Amino acid sequence: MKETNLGEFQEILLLLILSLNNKTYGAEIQRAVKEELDRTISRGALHTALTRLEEKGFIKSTMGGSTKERGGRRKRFFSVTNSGQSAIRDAKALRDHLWSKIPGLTFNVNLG
Amino acid sequence: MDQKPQVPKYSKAFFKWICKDGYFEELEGDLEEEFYRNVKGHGESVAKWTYRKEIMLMIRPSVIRKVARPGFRFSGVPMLNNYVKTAFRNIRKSALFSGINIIGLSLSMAVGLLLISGIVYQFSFDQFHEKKDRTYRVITNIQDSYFGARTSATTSVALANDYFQGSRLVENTVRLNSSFGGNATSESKTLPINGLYADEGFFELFTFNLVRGDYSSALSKPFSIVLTERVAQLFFEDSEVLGQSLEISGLGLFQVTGIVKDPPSNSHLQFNSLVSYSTINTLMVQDSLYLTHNEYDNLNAGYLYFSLIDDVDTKEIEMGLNSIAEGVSARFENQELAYELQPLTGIVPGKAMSNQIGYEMELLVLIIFSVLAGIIILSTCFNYTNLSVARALGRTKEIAIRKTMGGSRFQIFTQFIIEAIVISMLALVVATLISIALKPYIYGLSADIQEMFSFDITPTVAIYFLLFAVAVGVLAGFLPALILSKQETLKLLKGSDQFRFLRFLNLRKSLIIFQFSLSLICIISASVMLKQFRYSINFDMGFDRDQVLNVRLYETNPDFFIDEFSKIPEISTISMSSGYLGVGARSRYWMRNEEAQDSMVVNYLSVSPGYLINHNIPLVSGRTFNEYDFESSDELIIVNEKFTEVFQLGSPEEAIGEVILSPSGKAFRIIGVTKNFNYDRLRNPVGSFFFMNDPNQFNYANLKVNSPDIATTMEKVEASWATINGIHELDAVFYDDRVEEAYSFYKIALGIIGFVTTLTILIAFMGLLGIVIYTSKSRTKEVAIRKVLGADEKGLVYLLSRSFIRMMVWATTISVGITFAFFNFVVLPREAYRASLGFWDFGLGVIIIVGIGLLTITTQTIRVARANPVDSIQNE
Repeated sequence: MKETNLGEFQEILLLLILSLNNKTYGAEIQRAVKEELDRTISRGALHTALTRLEEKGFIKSTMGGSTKERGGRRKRFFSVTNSGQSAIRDAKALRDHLWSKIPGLTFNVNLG
Repeated sequence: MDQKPQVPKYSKAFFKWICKDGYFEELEGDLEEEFYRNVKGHGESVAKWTYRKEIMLMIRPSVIRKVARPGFRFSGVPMLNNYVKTAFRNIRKSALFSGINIIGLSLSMAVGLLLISGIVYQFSFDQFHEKKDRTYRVITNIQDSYFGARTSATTSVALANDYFQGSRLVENTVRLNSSFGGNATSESKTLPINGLYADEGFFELFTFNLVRGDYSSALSKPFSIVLTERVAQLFFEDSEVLGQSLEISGLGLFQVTGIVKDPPSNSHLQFNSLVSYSTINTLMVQDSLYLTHNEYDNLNAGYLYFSLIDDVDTKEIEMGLNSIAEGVSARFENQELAYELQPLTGIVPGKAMSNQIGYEMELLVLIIFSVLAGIIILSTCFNYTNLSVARALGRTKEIAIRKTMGGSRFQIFTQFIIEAIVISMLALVVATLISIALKPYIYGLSADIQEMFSFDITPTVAIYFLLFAVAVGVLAGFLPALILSKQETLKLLKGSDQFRFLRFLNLRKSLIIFQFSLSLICIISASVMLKQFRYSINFDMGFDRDQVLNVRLYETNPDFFIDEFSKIPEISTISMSSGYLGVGARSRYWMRNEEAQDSMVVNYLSVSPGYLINHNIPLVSGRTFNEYDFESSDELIIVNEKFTEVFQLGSPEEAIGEVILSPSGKAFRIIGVTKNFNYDRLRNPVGSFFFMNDPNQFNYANLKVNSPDIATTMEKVEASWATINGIHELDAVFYDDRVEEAYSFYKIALGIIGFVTTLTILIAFMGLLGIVIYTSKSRTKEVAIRKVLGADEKGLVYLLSRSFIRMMVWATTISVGITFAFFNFVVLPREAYRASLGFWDFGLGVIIIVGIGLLTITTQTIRVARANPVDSIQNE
């Protein structure tokens, strides 16, 4: 099995970016994390994670055009690269594989 | 309309500062977007706090920029050598600027040095005591409903037996009383002596070394006396002293039990002799001394020092004392008192208090002097900064080449700082010489100063001097070093046009205005104070003090005195008095009307019948004293007109025969009324005053001298004195001299201000000279072209001088305004009698300073204006 080097949070980020039409920017991701995962993350921490992903080549970023919003400051748009897409697919495959190997998965209900 | 909420700007600026350049736009944009969403969703303050929190969380390696590594490799001594060498070359290259800087710095540093050595001396007080860290003095804070709050160095010495000796924390307690004194007679001679009564633990508590005698027993027995080396020499010369005895007038026979080294000058305790404290009890039994030193109510009975067994906390003792103080306060009607512990080393310099045992120095005074010196030193540091920034224009290429060759910003910064330090070190040498030269001048200002400050250069002082010089160098060189090292190489190489030093010009001009205002303020203050001083000593006080010689009587019988001195033909009249009028030393008494219950404070003087005539104080009604007055049962008094007004006695004629009471019910009958006169210093208005005739209080004889040859008369006075009193030296002072002495505050202040004025003027002119030379030179080419195009010299001088003249006008306006307001509304209203301020009190100083200022400006600008255009334009 190939080593994907994908952390749990990085995997989620990739999925989120894809779910946001594969073109999204920091503030939007930050909000999505809050809404979908009910998890508060600082923009700085998000920046670190995104930088790591970009260094690994799983996402790429482009600066958007200047708009009237946010005092004319441009946004950086992120999208998942092909290698990023294959990385999450690999990760999913690995999990499915492992799930399938669990014999007779049952929930033990303790009736005390 | 509501203002649109803004993101917290300092946080934003901070973020911009720490963030990597490429990321700021994107990240801040995101944060701002979130901010406005939060403003809508949660309100402005939540949004702001979220924003700030986000920025704090941005401090992580992926976001913040790398700390730019300065090319700081300290290559040790060789590099330092290089810096110093370059510094010296630069100093030599621009001798004029360096000269101005060194002289300016050294003048103000001399002030700093004097202050440092003075302050070091102050803080050396009482440091020689071995137990200094655990020795304390008990002082008393008194809150009085009549006189307000005061602190006394004395305390209830009864605490010693009742409290301290029982305390397990206290090692040793010593009571001191400074009332010992009298005429001492040894086998061969009689001399006055004074000293301290001290408990036997004295030598254990304080580190005063005995030359002869035993430390533990010298002060144990009653009637033991320990003399200082100096006093022992006076009485016994070189003979064996131990076991000798001294007969002290009114007290008895004392055994000399020891010789102690003279107390060092930096000891707050100063004494000629020490007498065993147990003597007091014996003297009281014998009725030769009355001292209520065992009663808590007597807060003036003496001083109490103690040492702790170890470095223990004083809290427990303070609490114990507080509970005693509460009990004592309850006994007073209008006084609330609290005992306080004062560390031995905190006595000098310390806080102001009454009843000091010896030398005192207020910490506040030191702080005021330090602030003054600080202003002067800062002012010269400005000059340095000013001049070196200006001069740096000529050094842009040098810096550029250093940078090109790989000199880092830090290295260039260091080079400039080192240059400044080298200059301040050179100034230190000059300043040390100046301060040594100034020493006699400062000592000459007042006898007190000699006692207060030792300006000797000890090793400690020398170390502070060096640190001080380095500090001055860094302070002065910091700004130029910062600006010069910051510039970009390319701009430096392109030349001075790109080089925006000039934006500091406004700042530099403000500094010059500040310096000139300061020197104007000084010179005007000096002239106003001189005027008030002259006014005070020449003021007609309402009595005639001309040619009156006051001779201190000591214990001489007034009748003997008159018999002897009447023989001198030049002395026309002799009267007696308990003190001086008009010099600020006052005796006060509480008095009330027969009907009224409230007493009022009244000043008085005890005089002989001839006093009024001798001093030409006119009577309005009634009579003066005569020798039959002693038959009266009432005390007879002569009052001034103000007295009759205050006590509502009607007209001066009606007041005669009226009776005024003291709080204890003693009756005073008025026999005469005089015109008002100034019995106090001119600071206070004339209040109610009376004369009484109590020969027991006479301290001075007032001799009216009519002599063309004062020197011969003085010889006769001295001869007569010797025949009636062989113990004390003659103490004779002319009244006028004594009045002048009473206003010596002005003299000292004038001396100091005079010195400071000279200094600030010099500093201001050096600053002005520097900036004028610089601006005129930098406009040489402009002037040349104007000349070629036909401008005349007069116009050019005006062109070059214009901005400086404007600066002078500003400085004058500011300083005259400040000093006028200060003296007219703050200082002089506190004086009841004051000189009025006229135009010339301000005008003279202004004319002098502005005159010299204009001279400085024009001589420099004329030189530039006269220069041959050919030379200037050629000079490329």
